[in-house]
Amino acid sequence: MKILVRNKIINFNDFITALKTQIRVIYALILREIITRYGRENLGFLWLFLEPVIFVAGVVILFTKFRADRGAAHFFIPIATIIFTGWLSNKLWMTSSSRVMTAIEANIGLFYHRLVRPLDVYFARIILEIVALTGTFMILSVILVSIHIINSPASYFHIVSGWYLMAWFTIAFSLIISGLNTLTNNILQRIWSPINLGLFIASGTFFLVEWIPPQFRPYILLLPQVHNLEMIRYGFLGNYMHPYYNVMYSVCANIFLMLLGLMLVKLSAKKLEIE
Amino acid sequence: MADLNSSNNNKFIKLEGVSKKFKIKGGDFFALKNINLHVNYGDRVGILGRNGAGKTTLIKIIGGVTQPSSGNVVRQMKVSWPLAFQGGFQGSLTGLDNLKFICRIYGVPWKEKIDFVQDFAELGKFFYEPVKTYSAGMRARLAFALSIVIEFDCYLIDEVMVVGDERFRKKCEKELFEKRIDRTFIIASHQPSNLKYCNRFFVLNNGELIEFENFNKAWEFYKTL
Repeated sequence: MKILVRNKIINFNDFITALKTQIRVIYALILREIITRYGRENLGFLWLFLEPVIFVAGVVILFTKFRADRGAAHFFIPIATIIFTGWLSNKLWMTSSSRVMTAIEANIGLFYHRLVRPLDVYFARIILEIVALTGTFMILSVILVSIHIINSPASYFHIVSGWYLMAWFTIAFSLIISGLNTLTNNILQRIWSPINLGLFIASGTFFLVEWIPPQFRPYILLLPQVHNLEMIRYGFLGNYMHPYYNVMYSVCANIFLMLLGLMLVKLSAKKLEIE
Repeated sequence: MADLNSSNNNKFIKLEGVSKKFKIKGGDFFALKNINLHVNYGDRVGILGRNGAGKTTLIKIIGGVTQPSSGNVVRQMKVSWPLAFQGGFQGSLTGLDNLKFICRIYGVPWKEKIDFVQDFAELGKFFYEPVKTYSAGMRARLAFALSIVIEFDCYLIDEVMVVGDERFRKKCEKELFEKRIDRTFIIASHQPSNLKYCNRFFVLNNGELIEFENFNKAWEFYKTL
């Protein structure tokens, strides 16, 4: 099978070989990253899961101790579920976007191997982040549901689809940020934490879309991550909430952002090669 | 001449009009100017050049580490990374981790290479310790050992044989130029003694590559620079 790419005929088998190489390289980078990031002493790579577990556990306990619905049983706000889902889902794109920005600097020596491309280094970090947080999400869900701190899920389908769309969004978003960072000569990196935090809060980490005045909802729903989060929350809360999400919008946004991200990475890779 | 394997006959590296410019204050600086080079399998190319002549840039471009500003590089054989390169070592990784990484990206099983690397690099138990505990010599020996773990058709060598002491240098030369003398080599150096294994001779001067019939002619020209 032959495919025409930019007026060049590419053999389908060559594409498969290249794909296999890329998967091999990303796998090698992930294993390397686990050791460089967590070391092999004491708990080693278990920190990958423990780090967010401890953090989220702290936040959830803090918020359940000071829950707004205290003493008002008729006015039930599932605050722990909202914080738990909001925090972990939005952490996906928040942490991985900040981690990809330092990926090039940290791995600069590896580009001596022709097979290692900037995209592989980004993918390694993003995938590791997604795997770690997905694991944390699953472990914590089971624990928190079993001790009745968060609601037991009303629809697993909504949780899984929402999480899947959020992971996809994370890849696309992180690629865009890393590409832009390189193209702006690391200027974005300096100002990224306040922007990231602002986005984190604005993306519904601590609130449901139904809580905000109707006239502002369309603006907040421009952010695709809000749709994904609403979907995950609906999966947990079911009829306790009125969800605002549009799957079509989220999927189309992801496709568009993914293409934009890949394009920016390609442009930035050219810039890196020239330097 | 050793009889060439027929599949090696259509292996080559070709540089077509390769130029490389760097942006500096007050305009562009051309590190390489319109380089044309055709290397066949089994050629041992020696490139003489003063410091700053563009040797490293040329090696990096052939190795695909950097891209030329204009022109084309066609690689129709398995080309190594610039050899004995010591970067890419992360302090918290052990020698073994580095071996695993290299083997994984090139798709070679690492288990059977452990003995060779440990023995060749003379690291002893330090092979299982983080690279940050290594001396400069140990790092250099590990870098070289890792470079020959993967078999290539063409080895790129930039200012070699500065690795370790005399004895280790001999060992490296034996590994490369005795065991793998049928392969292709591209060697860039400012020292003529490093070109003794070559069969094609070039001088790189101010970003221009000139080929000479034999070593003596290249050397005569090089001395006048």
